[in-house]
Order: sequence, then structure tokens, then C-alpha cells
Amino acid sequence: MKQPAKRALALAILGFAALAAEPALADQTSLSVINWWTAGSEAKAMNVLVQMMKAQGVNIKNDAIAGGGGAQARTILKTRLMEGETPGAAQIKGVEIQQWGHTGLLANVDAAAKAGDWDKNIPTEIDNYMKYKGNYVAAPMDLHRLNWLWYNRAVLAKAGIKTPPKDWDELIADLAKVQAKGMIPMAGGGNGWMIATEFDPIALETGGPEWYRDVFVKLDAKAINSPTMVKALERLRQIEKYTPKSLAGRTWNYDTGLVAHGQAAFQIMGDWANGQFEFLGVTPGGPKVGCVAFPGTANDFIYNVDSFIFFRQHSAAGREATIKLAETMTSPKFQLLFNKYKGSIPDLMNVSLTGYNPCQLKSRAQFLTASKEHNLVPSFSQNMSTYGPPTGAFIDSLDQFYTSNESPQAAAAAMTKRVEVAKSQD
Amino acid sequence: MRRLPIYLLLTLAALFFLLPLYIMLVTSFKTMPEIYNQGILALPRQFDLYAWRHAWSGATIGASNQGIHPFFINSFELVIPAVIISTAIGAINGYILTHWRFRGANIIFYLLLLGTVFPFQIILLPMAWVQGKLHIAGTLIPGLVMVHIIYGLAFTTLFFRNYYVGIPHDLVRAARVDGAGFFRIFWRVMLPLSTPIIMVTAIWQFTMIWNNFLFGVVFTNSDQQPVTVAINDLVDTVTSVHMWNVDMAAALIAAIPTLVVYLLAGKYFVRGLTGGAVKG
Amino acid sequence: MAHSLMQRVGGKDQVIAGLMLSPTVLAAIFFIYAFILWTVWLSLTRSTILPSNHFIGLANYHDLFGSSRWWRSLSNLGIFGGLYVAISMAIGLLLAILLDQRIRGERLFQVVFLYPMAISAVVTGVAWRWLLDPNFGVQAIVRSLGFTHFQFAWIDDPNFAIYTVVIAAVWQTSGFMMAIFLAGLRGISPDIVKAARIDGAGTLRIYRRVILPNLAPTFFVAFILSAGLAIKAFGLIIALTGGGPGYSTNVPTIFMYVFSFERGEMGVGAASALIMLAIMMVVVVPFVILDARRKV
Repeated sequence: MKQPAKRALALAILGFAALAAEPALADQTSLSVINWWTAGSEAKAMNVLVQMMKAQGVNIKNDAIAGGGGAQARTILKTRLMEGETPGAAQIKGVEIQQWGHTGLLANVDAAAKAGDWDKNIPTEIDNYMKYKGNYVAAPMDLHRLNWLWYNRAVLAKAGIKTPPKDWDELIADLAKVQAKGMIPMAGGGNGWMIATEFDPIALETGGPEWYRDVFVKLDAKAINSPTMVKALERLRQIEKYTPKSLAGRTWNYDTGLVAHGQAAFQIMGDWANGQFEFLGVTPGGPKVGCVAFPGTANDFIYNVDSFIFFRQHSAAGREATIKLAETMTSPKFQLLFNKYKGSIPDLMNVSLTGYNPCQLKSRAQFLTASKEHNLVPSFSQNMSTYGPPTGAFIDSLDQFYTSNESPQAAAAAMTKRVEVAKSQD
Repeated sequence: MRRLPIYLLLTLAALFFLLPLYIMLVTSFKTMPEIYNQGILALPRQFDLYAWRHAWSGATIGASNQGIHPFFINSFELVIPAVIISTAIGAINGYILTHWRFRGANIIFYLLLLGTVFPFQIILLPMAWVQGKLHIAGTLIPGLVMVHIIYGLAFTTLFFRNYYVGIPHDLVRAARVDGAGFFRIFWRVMLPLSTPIIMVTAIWQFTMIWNNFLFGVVFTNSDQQPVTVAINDLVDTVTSVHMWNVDMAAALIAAIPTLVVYLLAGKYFVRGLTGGAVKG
Repeated sequence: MAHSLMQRVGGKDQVIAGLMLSPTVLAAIFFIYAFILWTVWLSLTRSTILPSNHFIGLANYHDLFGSSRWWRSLSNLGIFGGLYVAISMAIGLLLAILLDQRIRGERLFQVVFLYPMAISAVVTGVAWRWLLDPNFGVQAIVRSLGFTHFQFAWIDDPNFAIYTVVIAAVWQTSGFMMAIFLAGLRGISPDIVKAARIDGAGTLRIYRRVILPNLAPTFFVAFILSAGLAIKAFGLIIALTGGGPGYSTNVPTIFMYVFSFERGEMGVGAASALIMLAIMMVVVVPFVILDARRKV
């Protein structure tokens, strides 16, 4: 009895000694890059960035933290700043970049933009997000399209569908046909993020780009509490009817698997689904799985751009490294490699997409058309259209609607109210 | 067989408790196509070790593509000093609060009690600030170890205090009459009687710290993260591919040390609690 | 008791005792109470993505209580907390009483009941999500046995998903409750029980009249620990339901985390943390006072 207890205490004293002896870790020459690309191909692509920076003599600490579209990563970013450990860059996107610009902590990377001629090579719509008060403070990494409909060719053939749907009525008719054959018509549903991601193209299809911007960018109460919104919500409900309830709580990757393996006909999802299809051994746009712009939105493009903001460094070496990092992130070599893995397309319009799959090539072509015709809209579900609180209000409202018997009218009214409250929080 | 219902109830309960473990085990030995096409209770057609190997040393997690094993080692480096130190301080605190009582000892104890129930999310930002000031931000040792010691003290003190309350004052008094001082009494009288409660406290702290996620993710840099954070990095990705067999294998690997502790020391746990840790 | 004597003869050693205890006391004052005060200040400021010192009074509390998501989080805590504490203590007590009947294989059962405590919430959540999934889990299994109309899809139903959280949480910690109650049972002097038996009391009567009343302190500890675990529950819910479907399984810890860090509404997050703390005090303090009275 006596011995183990004494030994434990002796160990405790040793523990104290070990603590005291441990030297503090401090590596001033390296830049930390906070991101949420923690696994699989995304993580591999990030590590390519690390290698490319190393070749230029800059040590990058890849601070990758998983979880809920960056919730964890944002927590880390905030605690790092509280610690006084300013990171080199952090994965922050959309309108939130302006909020960070406001803190006065961001670095000016105009030099990198000049070297890479971002003004010319990157579309203005994307550039605008990267600037705070006229200066570049962030760099884009990719360009995702939201309004895609993925489908399994064999399932469609079995249901007697010859071509993928081109408008809403065709989509609903096709869903019914698939259901009649006893297969899953639409793989989807689930958490707020997934519901909002599905609603994104539905809303655009229902109201068109102008109305979409009024609602999700301008947060115009009249546009939100409108018959158009009611109609869009009714359509979300229609889609829900063709989505097995039991898929809720699954991940979108799982849904993609159902389409790839011929258990489900359709999935509404952004082009990051490309990566999952490739992983499952089917090339989108190939013989098994096809992609088509979400019905009724062939000339429109809902975009999502992942980007990194840069923090002001104390040392000259740090500042120089920051510029190099911004340059490398937007270099043709890195962007081509990174976006191929991610299923998206490069932000640079001056590089040719060799080795990209047919869906990605289509994405580039439709981006250019949509850009010319002012049919580009920023995705609300991916935090591109407005600040966190109103985005949260939209997602909460859709969640509430999707998971209850709330009427579309009541939901539109509740959404308007929630967004008004959220607006006042800015 | 009057006792049959007792065994029946216990066996039913045991099945309920074992079901999730069974599912994790069989899933970890399946291939991805099998997972898509079979029921979760089905045994794997052949025991495929790929997921285990990949989880241990092949999976890409954050900046590393060496699987979870580096993080597994991090967790040991964290848990050993944190458990030992928080247990040792708890023992001394419990000893003081029961046998060196002074005015306000109870108030101090109740103040500490709040530390066992308050939500830890509150401390993330101010603790980050403190760690920055101390220049230990982002470190496993001593940064994260310190956080776990501080927020474990309320528990360890509670355990030891409740145990030492049951040790008669006469023992301490007799030692004092013999001329023993504060430390000597602790070393010679209290500690030899403490094995059960040390086991309870150490098992509790080991479990809590090994399984903690929130502190690990917030207070360590990516190469120093504990294994729970690595598991989450693997499991909780939004826009990347998913391999459930690897998820399950990684999860099981991460659970092995605590499972071993419970298997080897589980009896001490109940015995130690019996010794008085739970007496109010 | 002998305290008065101890105090008189304390002297130098009493000072050492005070010195040895002081680091813990100072740490508690700083790392618990000062941090709480800082959170109070934060809740009164317009803090969004980072803390700010712009004082705005009680506006954050106004926003907080105007949020239906917050109300849902509170009612979920009530449902989850109440059921979880009651069920895990009941199962724990039942298992402890069963194990206390001098049965064979007691150690094995103990380990089986305790092991879920050893597994982290992140892992538990994944396993239970599969079991509760109607496509693969309990529903599919029971249906494959021939009961084709069997329904068990709580995890997909916003009105019932919170009960699946109760199931997983009970699974994880009722073994621990069992250990606590078993310890309490073993701590009761056999003499008392023997005396009751000599008086001719039956087993049920002994449990009701003699054993359970003697377990009062054990109930206190079990309650404090399980109430604390309930209010602090976070990782398990995140891993099991992610707070959904919708926000139907949000609880205050999740609300606080999402608003403080993900959404950039730090002031509202701080306000929610303090309300959470207040709830904790309301639940726990009466028990602590009762406990203190009992001891004096």
C-alpha cells in the first residue's frame, strides 16, 4: 500500500522538473497559415503550398483545423490574436474580409497583386472582395460554382429520362419518374449548411440574379418578404418531398456516394463534389455521372471563393514572406494544381485548364458568359453575400422551415424579421 | 433460480453498452464498398487491415501525412505530467482542507466547487491572453498541460477532500504528538492510506484529459495537437472525401489507452470510490 | 470534532498549510472568477469578431432573448438535462444494486458498464449516429427481423432528435453512475443492514427504509456530477447531431460557441455564457447549501 503512493509523489516532483526544463518554443522566421483543409486532397494541396514556399526560403506552418465550415479555425484565429501570436494568413472569405480590414490588423499585399497582375487576370467581382479601402489585403485560392445538378446516367435511363432536366417542371417530372421506379430521386437534406446549399440555386432559379442580390446582398426586407420568396420556399419543400427523410444527418459526401453508386438519381451540390466523385472512381462528365447547371440557371453562376487574409508582420523578413505567400497562392502553377484537386477552377482567367474534367471546363465557360451578362451572384450559403449574422439568420430560418410544418408565408415573414434583427447587430 | 432475472437484466444492459463498440470494430475491418452495401451489424467478409494501417501511419491529417500516430504520442506527453501534477496538488489540497482546517476552509472548498461545473468555453479567450503573456502560447508543454492542471484542480481537490474527511483526526493528532510536521504527516500518515483515492483521481484525470477536445484544439499549434483533435480533423471535414473505415479505426486507436486503463484499473476505480471519494 | 484542538496547536505548520493551499486559491480566483468577470464585461460591449471596449449596456442580452434559437437551446437543456440526470442516475442505481447481489463475473460487468466513459465524445457521436440512422441502425435491423413497419427515426425528426442525445449521453455515463452508487452501497455498514434483517424486514423494505436513505450523500455527488456533465455537454452533441436537424438539438454551450467564434457575435456569446452560468448556480447552489447544513 505504502510504496505506490510514494512513487507517485516522486513522479510528480519529476514532472515539475520536466516542466521547468522544457524550453519555450519560438520560431520567428515562419508564418502560420490557419485553414480548415485538414484531410484528403485538400490537405495534400495545402502541403504543396508549403513545399513551394520552402523552395523560396519561407517556412510555412500549416495550421489546419477541421470543423463545421471553419468554426474551429475561427476560434483558433481569435485565440491566436489574443495570445499576441499574429498568424501569417488565415482562411477568411467574402464580406468578412471587410470586417477584418476594420480591425487594422491586415497587411497590404498590393505588391503581390502588381507582380501577378491580379487586376487583369482575376475577375473584378473576385478582386473586390480582396480589397479593403482600395488595397489588397487578401488573395483568392479557388473559384467554386454552386448551381450544379449531379446525376447518375444509368438511373436516369432506368427511369426513362433521356436528357437531364432543363427547367423546374422537367426536374419535378424527372424526380417523380425516378420515385416511381423505387429509387432515391434526390440525395440531400441534413444540417443547415446542406439545406442552405440546396436552397442557393433554387432561390436563384425562382427569382433571378437581380432578386437574389436584393435578398442576400442588399438584405432588402421587401424582397425577402415577397411572393417570390414564398415560391422559392415552396420549391424547397417540393424537393424535400423527393429527398428521403432518413438522409438527414448524413454528410453530403455520403449523398454523393449514392449518386456515384447508382442508388440515387440527383444531387444538388457545389462543384467540390467533383473531388468526391473522383475519389469514388467516377469522373464527373464521364460515362457514369453527369453534371448540368441547376435547371433554369444555365446562364447564371453562383460563386464561392475561398481566400486568405494576411496579417501585418513586425519584421521586414515577415513582411517580405507575406508578399511571397500571396504571390505563390495566386501563381498559375499552384492554382492549377490546387483547383484540380478541389473540383473548382483557378481564379486566374489567363491559364488554360489542361487535365481538368468536363464539368470544370464547363464551369469556366459559364463563368465567363455569366460575368459578361451580369449574371454572377455571390453564394449566401457559403458566406459570400453578406456578414455572419444575416447569413446565420437565413440559414436558421431555412433550417426551421425545412424541419417543421411551417408554411412558406410564415417562413418568409420569420426570415424577414430574423434578418432585420441580425442587421442591427453589425 | 431466483437469481436468473438478475443475470438476465445485467446481460441485457451489457449488450446495450457493447453495441456501439461492436459496430465500430466491424466497420473498421470493412472495405468502403462493403460499408456502402452491407448492414452495419454484418461481419466483414474478410478482415481488411487497410483502415487500421492507414489510420495509424498513412492518413493525411493537417500538415502531416503520417496518420494519427504522432498525435497519439503528443497525447501521452500531455496526459502524463498533467495527471501526475493535478493529482499531487489535489492530494495536498484535500489534506489541508480536512486536517488543517481554518476559518473559511469550507468557503474555499465551495468556491473551488464551481470549477467542476462551469462551462469551459468561457475561458478560451482570456486564457489565450494569459498564455500569450507567459510566452507559452500554442505549446503542448507547458501551455496545454497548465490549462489541464488548473481546470482539473477542482476535481482532484474534491476527490481527495472527500476521501481524507474519512481519515480520523486522531491519527494526525498522534503524529503531531510524536513531533511530526505538516509534510511528514502527509508523507507518513496520509499517503500510505491514499492508494485507492490516488487510483480514482488518476483514472478520472487520465480519462478527462485524454478525451478532451476543446482545450487541445484551441491551445496547441497543429504539430503539437493531441489525438482527439487529430481524430476530429479526420472525421469532421466538410468538403473532402470520407472513409468511414479509417474514421472508425482511428477512433478505436485513440480509445485504446483509456480502455486499457479501465481494463487494468477498473476494479480500483470502484474500490477507490468505495473508500470514500463519493461521500459528501 | 477535533478542529479546535488542531487550530490551537497549529502554529508554524498551520502557516505552511495556508501557504501550500494559496496557489490553488489564487488560481481559482484568477482563472475562474476573474475570467467570469471579464466575460461579464464582454457581454456589455459591442464585441463582434474580436473583443472590443465599446460599451453598449444590455443590448446583447436583448438580442439574446429575442433569438428563437436561444430559447430552443434553453428548452433543449431542460429536456436533455432533466432526462439525462434522472435516467442515468436511475440506471446507475439499478445496475449497482444488481451488481451488489454477490453475483458471478462482477468485475467483467463493471468494466463493460464503465468503458463508454473511456471513449471520447467525438468517437461516441460517430458510432451512435450510425446506430440511430434509420437506414443502417436500429430501425433497419429490427425491420430486417421481419417487423417491416417498425419506426425509429428520431435522429431525423427535429421534435425528437434531442432524445437521441439523451440516449447517447446515458450510454456514455450511466456506468460511471453505477460505480458511484456501487461505492455508496459498499460503504454502508453491514451492521445496519443486519440489524434491520433481524428486525424481520424484507429485502425491498431494507432498501427503501435503510439503504436508500443512507445513500443520500451518494445521491448528492451523483447529482452534482451528472448535472455538471449535462450543462457542459458539447462534444457529444456536435459529433452526434451537429446541433441539428436545423438547430433542434442546440444547447447553450453550442449556442455560445457558434455565436462567439463562428458567427462573430462575441458579445451575444458572452451574454449566453453568463446565463448558462446563472442556470448552473440555480441548480447546484441549493444542493451545496443543503450539503453544508447537513455537515454542520
